Amino acid sequence: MSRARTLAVVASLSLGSVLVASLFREPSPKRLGALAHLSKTSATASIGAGKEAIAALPAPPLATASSASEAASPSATNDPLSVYLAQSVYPPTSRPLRAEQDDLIHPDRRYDPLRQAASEPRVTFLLTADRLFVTGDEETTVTLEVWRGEAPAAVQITRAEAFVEGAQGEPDAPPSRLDFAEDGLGYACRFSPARLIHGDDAAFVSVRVSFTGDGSLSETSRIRFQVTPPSAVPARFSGQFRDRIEDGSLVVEAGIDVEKAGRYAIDANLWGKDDRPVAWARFKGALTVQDAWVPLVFFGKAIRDAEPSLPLRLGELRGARLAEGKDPDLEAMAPYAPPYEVTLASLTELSEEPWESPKKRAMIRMLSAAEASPGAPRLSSISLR
Amino acid sequence: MTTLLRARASRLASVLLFGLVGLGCSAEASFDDLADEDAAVRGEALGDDGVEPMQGGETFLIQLEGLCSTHFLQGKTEGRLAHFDGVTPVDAYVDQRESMAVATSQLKAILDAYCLGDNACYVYTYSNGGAVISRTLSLYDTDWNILYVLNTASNEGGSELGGTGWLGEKLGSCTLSGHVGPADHRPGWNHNDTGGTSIYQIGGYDGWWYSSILLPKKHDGAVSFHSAAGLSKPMAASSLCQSKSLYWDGHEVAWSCEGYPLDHMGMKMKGLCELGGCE
Repeated sequence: MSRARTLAVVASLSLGSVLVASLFREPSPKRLGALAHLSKTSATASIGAGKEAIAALPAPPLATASSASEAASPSATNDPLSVYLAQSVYPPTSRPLRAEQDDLIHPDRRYDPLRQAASEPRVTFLLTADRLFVTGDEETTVTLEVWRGEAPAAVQITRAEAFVEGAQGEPDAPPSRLDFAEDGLGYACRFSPARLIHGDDAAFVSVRVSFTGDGSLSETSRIRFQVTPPSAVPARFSGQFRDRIEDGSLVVEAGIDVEKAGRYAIDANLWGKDDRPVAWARFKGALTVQDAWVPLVFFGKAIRDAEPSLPLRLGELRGARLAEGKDPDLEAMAPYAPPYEVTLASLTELSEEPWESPKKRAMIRMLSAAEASPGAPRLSSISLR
Repeated sequence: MTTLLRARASRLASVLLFGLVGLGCSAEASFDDLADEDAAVRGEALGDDGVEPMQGGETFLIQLEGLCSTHFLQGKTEGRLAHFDGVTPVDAYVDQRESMAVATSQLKAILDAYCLGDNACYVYTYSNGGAVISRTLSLYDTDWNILYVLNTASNEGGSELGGTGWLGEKLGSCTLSGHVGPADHRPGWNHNDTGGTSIYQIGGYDGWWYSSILLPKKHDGAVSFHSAAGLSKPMAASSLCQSKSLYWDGHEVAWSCEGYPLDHMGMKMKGLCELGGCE
């Protein structure tokens, strides 16, 4: 550890547990209010698109596990075969969707951590954005919020720039200047990262922000995006849908215009009439330029177990092509936002049977054999509620 | 870059092998009815005559290191290959110095080499190796025969130290150490798609004193419980055991809710020893 960083750390520790606690508390109403205010405002960037409404920003990332959610002293344990049998009631690519699954319900959400200023230990800041993957000419909103203790702090942004990463993550070309606008209790900038990319491959684009403030406050922080420029976008959702029942499961087919053949992963969620989460499904396989539809198979039992109100609707449709041998190795499709209402008329059209497949039978055989082998690794898991 | 990946994949030839006793998975057992009763399934799996219904394959234990490493025996903390009767340990050569794309591609090549056909694999990962196996299982649809994955001190959910420089200074400095935070790993791939493989987690709580400034609640100095446990969003957790609905699909906690009184480096071999593979 460098001497400077060590000194900063020692200095920060002198503030004791109060500071530590403040870093990891629940988001205060004041902070949430600041974010809400920011989300309604506008900003400009020198390479951006001007004064458009800024999309809603993610809430501060950290929650605290409630005592109720912490499964106190679970007593039962399970062996790997029992665990596998329980997990494989549903197939790997279609399972129930739970309200707690923020990562599936808000797949764009970043979790940039709150940082402590090394130069001024009482200061914390959050440099974040509204997404990790940026596709085509999409714009992204970058925000900076700074607090001194509990109070929002004004700072001077001395330098803000965006650049395509080259070797070791350093700029591949001279960075482009970004203009952050002061707004409410923070600072924001909206820009289109793809405009920095001159090649035809997806790339990492970084935003680096330096700011100063009262006292000795002087910080530089950085966040990164995975950007698929327009010329690299591998496929587009056409906006057409159709659905059917097949082998007791609901198959929703999304229309797709494939420009690059290859291996794709395409995800979507299913919601009930009352906006309750029902199930998620994933297509994982090869697509060719001749393919006009991609099937999303929502497993019958996963839907039946949720007991949803009809009609069902499709949401959060997104996907990417795996560009093997490249870095980044994902070429993202633009997410498709409008919901599609499924034609399913009755849940009884769906099967309640557990998942069954040759692969599942093979796994049961393998795990049974491993369990019977005296020299095999011995694993037991906690039975959680 | 393609050439680079191919060159690195060729290092697989140097993977270490010890002992060759098979477990296998190729026989034609009959399962007309996948009964809900575990006992019935187990009895049928072993056959009425008690003879193991699989012949011919081998069982491997893939040992995957963490951040800034190239293989399990080379990491900043001493590593050893485990010893189990009938299981061949494999020191996985996966380059985690540069990018997750390179690491994912190389791990796929290893799984292709050892975990297909009649072979079966256990996978043991340490630290950022937990993120690499998760990403590999999520992006590829290959029919690997993976019995289960055990992650120790997993960085699958990202470390709040990522990008601060502290991780690199403690675990070894490399380009990738700046890109293993929650904002890199959590939205980076669908962690709920494990390809049907069960992923088990253990974690430590003897955190380095300065890491407590950045890492929420209990941690091992490099990763917090929310990452080590496989929770689907970052939270300040004092136990590895949370409500089941808070985990990524396919993720389980092994042995202990409290975790182990070890720091991140001390956790490297803990899972292997708990499995009974330390001598």
